[in-house]
Amino acid sequence: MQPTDKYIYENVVPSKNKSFSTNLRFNDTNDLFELEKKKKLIQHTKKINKYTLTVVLFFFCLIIFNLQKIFFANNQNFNSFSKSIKKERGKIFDRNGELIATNIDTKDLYINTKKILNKTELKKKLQKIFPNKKENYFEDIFSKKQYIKIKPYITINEEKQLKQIGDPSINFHKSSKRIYLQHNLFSHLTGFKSSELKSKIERNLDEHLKKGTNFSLTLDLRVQHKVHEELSSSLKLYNANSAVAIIMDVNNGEIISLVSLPDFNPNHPEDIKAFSENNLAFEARYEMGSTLKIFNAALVYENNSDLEKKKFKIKDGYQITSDKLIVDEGIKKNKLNFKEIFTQSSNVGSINIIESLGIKKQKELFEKLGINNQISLYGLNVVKNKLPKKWDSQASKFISYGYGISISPISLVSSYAALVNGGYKIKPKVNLSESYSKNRILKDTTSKKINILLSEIVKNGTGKKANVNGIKIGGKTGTSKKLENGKYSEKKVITSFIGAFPIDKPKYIAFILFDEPRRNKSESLESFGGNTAAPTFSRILKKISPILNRNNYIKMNLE
Amino acid sequence: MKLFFFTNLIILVVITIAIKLTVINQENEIKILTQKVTKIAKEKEKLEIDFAYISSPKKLKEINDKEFKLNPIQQEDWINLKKK
Repeated sequence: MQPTDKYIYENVVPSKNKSFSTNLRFNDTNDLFELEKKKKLIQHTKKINKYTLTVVLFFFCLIIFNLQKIFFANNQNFNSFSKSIKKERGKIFDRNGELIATNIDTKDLYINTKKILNKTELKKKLQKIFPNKKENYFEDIFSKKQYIKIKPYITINEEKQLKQIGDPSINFHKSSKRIYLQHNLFSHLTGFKSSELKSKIERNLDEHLKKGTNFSLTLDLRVQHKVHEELSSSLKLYNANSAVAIIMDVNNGEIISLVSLPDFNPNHPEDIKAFSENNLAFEARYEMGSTLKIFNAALVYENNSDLEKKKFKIKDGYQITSDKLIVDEGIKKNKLNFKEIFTQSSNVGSINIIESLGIKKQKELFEKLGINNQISLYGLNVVKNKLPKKWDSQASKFISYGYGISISPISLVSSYAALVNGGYKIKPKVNLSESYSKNRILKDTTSKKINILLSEIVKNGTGKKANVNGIKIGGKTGTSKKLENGKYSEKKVITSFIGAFPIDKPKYIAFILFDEPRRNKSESLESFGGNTAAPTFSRILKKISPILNRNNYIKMNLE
Repeated sequence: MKLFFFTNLIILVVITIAIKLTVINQENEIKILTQKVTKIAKEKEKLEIDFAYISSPKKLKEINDKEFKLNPIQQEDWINLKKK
């Protein structure tokens, strides 16, 4: 039988898939099974394709992720690299950008005792280079089997000599040393930083300085130098224990100069004596004496009291306690008018004024001026004023002439600034970038009257020696006996002068204080604010006025 | 499809390597420049420190006292000028 046509199965395969059309032709029945096989194979291949696609996509994503890493992550690395270069301790500048404290690269000397070739020879050579080290120092060190730091911050010469020894045990480590270019000038503000110890700004602003943040002081190097020079020579002249000088801008509270003697060289912290480390302007408080009397005048002016027109009986003194009679020894007049009480610095007159006005008003004024509160200064510590435990009528009378209350020089300067600057309370500051705010606490007329009174004290009163030709000055002297073992000493005094200039429109205020000045060893009570602090103020002002106020100064003299 | 993905993959790998190499190259150049800048900055800083020390008021006074003996302008000088 001859084969006729091929077998045709029209309806064997579903017509969904076009590759297996309805018109398939099979040579024999086995082809049907072949077709089934192929179908399975195709399905399997499709699965593999899907997996491959997923893997390729995964790699694709991985590459995209890596690309992103290259562009962004590497930038971060670079930034941290550049940051590491700048990680040096921040510098300290004055208000004009003059360098005060900075860092220099130096080296520390280390010795690896295990590697010493010849101990006796090395000991001899090191002893020559470092003659200040004790005899047994190197012997003790060599006996220990350690890697020991011998000396930090070696000099270039020392390094050269050490390299010449050529011993493999000698090693140098890079280090950075903090140096203070102006030596003692700013020591009471910057403090010091040695390998571990820190003080004042170096300690209080350590977090910022460590990050490399620079710090600018409000102080002026030129003024600071002149004030330091004059105050040092006055300290010697009056043979005083210590001295303080503060110059402050009364309108914004910027401290232009601050000197506290004795001071120290922050480059050699090992030589600093405990007493000289105290910043007496911020960390000490004194019974200021007569400089506080001006607050009585402020009270009278502020309350529009008619005491201004009154005369006060001085001659008989004032029995303040049962065993204490207050007498104005130097005043010959029986009665003094209001102005004379201040120009002649009468204690009895001051008590009379406060007796008439009352404690409440006195307390209120002290509160307003900020004497009752602690002053805060950025980066520095300020001591809190010591107020009387019981502020009664007796304490109030003592306070009226400057006793029974101990205040820090910066607190006095700050409160005086409010009296002379038009009646605005300002916060003292040493940080140049710190903003300032003004709050009116006194009437403008009170401030103007105070300035006239201060001017009168310098013209005709106890502050005559503070005068400087060409500058209108107003100020108040102060002399107070020191408290010793619960009694006021007849020999030891604190003398001071506080003055504003130019007094017709004050721009600056300056305060000078001497602790125990002894003008003449046989007559120790000869020292007063008027003959120690006032002339020092004058000498300082003569030198610094051309720096402080040159333009106004020329104008003033050519008018 | 496969070919398309593999070609893309290879192109991406080549681009990535090329970018990476360029970045490394640039980074090295920046490092060299930064090192130079740091060196110059250190030199500048040293000079600044030297200058600050030499021009400090104390030092200037010493130099003046030794060499020039000049007097600073004081309040009295201005007054005299006015009177004249």
